[in-house]
Amino acid sequence: MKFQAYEGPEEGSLAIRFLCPTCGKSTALLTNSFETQLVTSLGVKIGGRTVPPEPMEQTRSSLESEGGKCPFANMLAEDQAQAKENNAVSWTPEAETRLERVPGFVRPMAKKAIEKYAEQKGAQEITESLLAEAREKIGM
Amino acid sequence: MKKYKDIVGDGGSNILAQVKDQQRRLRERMARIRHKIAVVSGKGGVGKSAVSANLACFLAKRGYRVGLLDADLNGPSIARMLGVDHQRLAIEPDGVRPVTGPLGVQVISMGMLLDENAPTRWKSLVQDESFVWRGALEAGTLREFLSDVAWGDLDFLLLDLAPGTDRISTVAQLLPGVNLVVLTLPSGVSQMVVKKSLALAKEDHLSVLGLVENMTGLFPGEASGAELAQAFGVPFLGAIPYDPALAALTDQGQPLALSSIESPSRRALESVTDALMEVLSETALR
Repeated sequence: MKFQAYEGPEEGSLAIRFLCPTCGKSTALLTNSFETQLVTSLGVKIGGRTVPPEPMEQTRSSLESEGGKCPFANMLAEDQAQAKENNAVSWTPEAETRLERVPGFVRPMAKKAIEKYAEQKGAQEITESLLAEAREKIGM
Repeated sequence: MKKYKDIVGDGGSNILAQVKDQQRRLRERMARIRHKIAVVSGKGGVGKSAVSANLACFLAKRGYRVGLLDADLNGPSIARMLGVDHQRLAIEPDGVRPVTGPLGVQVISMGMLLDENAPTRWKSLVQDESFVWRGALEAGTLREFLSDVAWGDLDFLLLDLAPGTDRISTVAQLLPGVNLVVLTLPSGVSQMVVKKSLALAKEDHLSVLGLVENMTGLFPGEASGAELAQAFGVPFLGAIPYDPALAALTDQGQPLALSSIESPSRRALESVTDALMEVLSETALR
């Protein structure tokens, strides 16, 4: 399946469409904001825990900070921290600037896909040209 | 590819185990605290925070290790009353380190997490319906204030609760066996609401250590706190006279226990502390 398009978020829900390159059928992933919020309000981690919770994790992540924040921002920060920890492929500043233009809520997914593409190509660094190549090949 | 029905249980989130782990952490943290006491009323504006702050300090002055949890998440004031409102919390491996206030009282308050003048606002994926989740998020924060704060070994943990009888139920569910100190003003309206709290405590078999009357002398034709306590069969811990000097000191972040001022309100607070200790010693003997 290839990422094709996204719509939203609208009223807290996001639709992401994927396309099967063989049969041409589309599949949509729809997030249900009510279910997500209900479970999150229990102070649990969706998808299960691999590490113990941080002190006052729920309070710190639930309190609205000045100016507001994208609800996916924490996920992005976690992903970036994890990538650093794993010594993943590096990004040139120019490539990072281009990545910043991708909407925040799909950016982690796009970043992972590009890094995977770079790994498969054996590249140690993601440059602007590699980014353009990846976009063309994986359809972003 | 997995289909919806191939996903067993909750898809790997293991929510039940996570909730049980929250409860285990709460139990373990609270096991190191001898007396957990919630200062409640049901009615707002009766002086719960000022009495909690001063009671905590008078207990600490007697050599007890005391913690004070400001459970009024939307109107936190304890940090200001104890003069620690500019201190920030630190996160350590064992949990969040509370701020050390006057006489070594360990303090935590939502005020320490917010910028000055910033209201308590919760993130919600569906902002229009955020009122639906607010109760759950507030209960979650209260749970974390109890379980994720490195309180250490304490003789007393006082909880200054927000108005509303529902808050009593929340704290009783989070902290089974919590003791209540109920506060009222000597006014008919205050007592009308406080009666609901006392009735709730009775129906739910909660332990009420006693009733305190605050701001005695402020209202003409006062309703008696002692009579209210008698009607509900709970100890009357004492009456604290209305004292503008106490209000002024509280505004300046100075607990009475630290000052050398001799006043009727100071004597009353000391007397309430004595009565509380007496009730606790009687409870221990039962």
